[in-house]
Amino acid sequence: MASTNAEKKGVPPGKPVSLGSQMLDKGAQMLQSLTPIKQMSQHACTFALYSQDMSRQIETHHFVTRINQDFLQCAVYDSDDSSGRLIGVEYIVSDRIFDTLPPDEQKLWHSHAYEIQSGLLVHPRVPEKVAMPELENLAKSYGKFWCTWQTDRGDKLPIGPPSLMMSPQEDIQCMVKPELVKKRDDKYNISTNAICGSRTELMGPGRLNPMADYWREHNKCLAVDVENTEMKKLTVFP
Amino acid sequence: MTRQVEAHHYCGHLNEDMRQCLIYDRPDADARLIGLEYIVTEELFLTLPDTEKPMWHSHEYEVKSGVLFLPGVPGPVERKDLEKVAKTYGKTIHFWQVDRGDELPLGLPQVMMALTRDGQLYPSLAKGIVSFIPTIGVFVIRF
Repeated sequence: MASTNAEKKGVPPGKPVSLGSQMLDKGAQMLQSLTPIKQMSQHACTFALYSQDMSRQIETHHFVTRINQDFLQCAVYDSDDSSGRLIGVEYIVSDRIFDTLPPDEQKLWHSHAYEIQSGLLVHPRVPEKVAMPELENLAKSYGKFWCTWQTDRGDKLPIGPPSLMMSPQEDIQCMVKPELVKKRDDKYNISTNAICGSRTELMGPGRLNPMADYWREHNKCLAVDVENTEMKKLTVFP
Repeated sequence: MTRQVEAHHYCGHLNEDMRQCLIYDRPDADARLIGLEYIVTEELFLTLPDTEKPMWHSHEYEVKSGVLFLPGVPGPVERKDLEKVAKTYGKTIHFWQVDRGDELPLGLPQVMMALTRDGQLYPSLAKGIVSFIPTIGVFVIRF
């Protein structure tokens, strides 16, 4: 069946989910345990920047699972509704764990202190007082965020290699555009500025590791490219 | 293709032609999120630029050989869904190489290809599996 014009223009293009598919999905939901995805316990909304071009900034929705006191894993979407596209994965570690990583690995990570102190990261619909213990943890953490679908540049499908993402910092070249923040604030009826005022006592890590946010000290951005490689095979193909 | 890994996919429809999946290393509460996969129909796959297509793989072999299955779902129902999956293409990216014992997600992402014929799968992994994905693409980071 050929697609209609509306179906071709969507992001991604495609027909609405058929009744048959919906029934299969419902059936599977009833029969399968889906345990790992039920462990998501937080929704955080924040902003991220492409490390290869910091003028490109996106609003992100992190659905977070805490694995232990030092480690969280997040499925990242471009919105929090049912049509949200899965745009990447972020891992978050405590400062204690981060300091044990090799320096070459640390270069791929970013700090969270500024993002949280400035009110850019919020837990939508959760009162600040309730979120505060988690914010205290997160302010001292570091993240590694790979973005696999660049919906901000209009990609209808996930194209290209993953992009390494960076966090907002107070440097002028990576300030989050006010119109992006306003759009987010209006949606949740909050004020990032006001929230920032209430977070003055939140502390970052005791010592911010200089290998994180690599671009700040070294004026170099990180871009990911694809290289073809010799395939190692188990058997010889006839 | 010498490194193969068990993967549990948790998928949702964006529309009839596309699914997006989170990939975990086991189906338990403490499972590690190791990657993600996008699955599209052939119609969408053919719209991709030629430079992009090599990062995608077909699902035909995995489904027909039985190495890909839906745990807990009765045969006839499973078959209906797998009939669709067999005709799709996937782009799988792994961020955490648990198979080499990494305790944390280190290094660069890996693009994963699928099994496409007999003889590629390690026999010891054939029991109780969901899907096996040997790697052939490499991402590099440039400063």
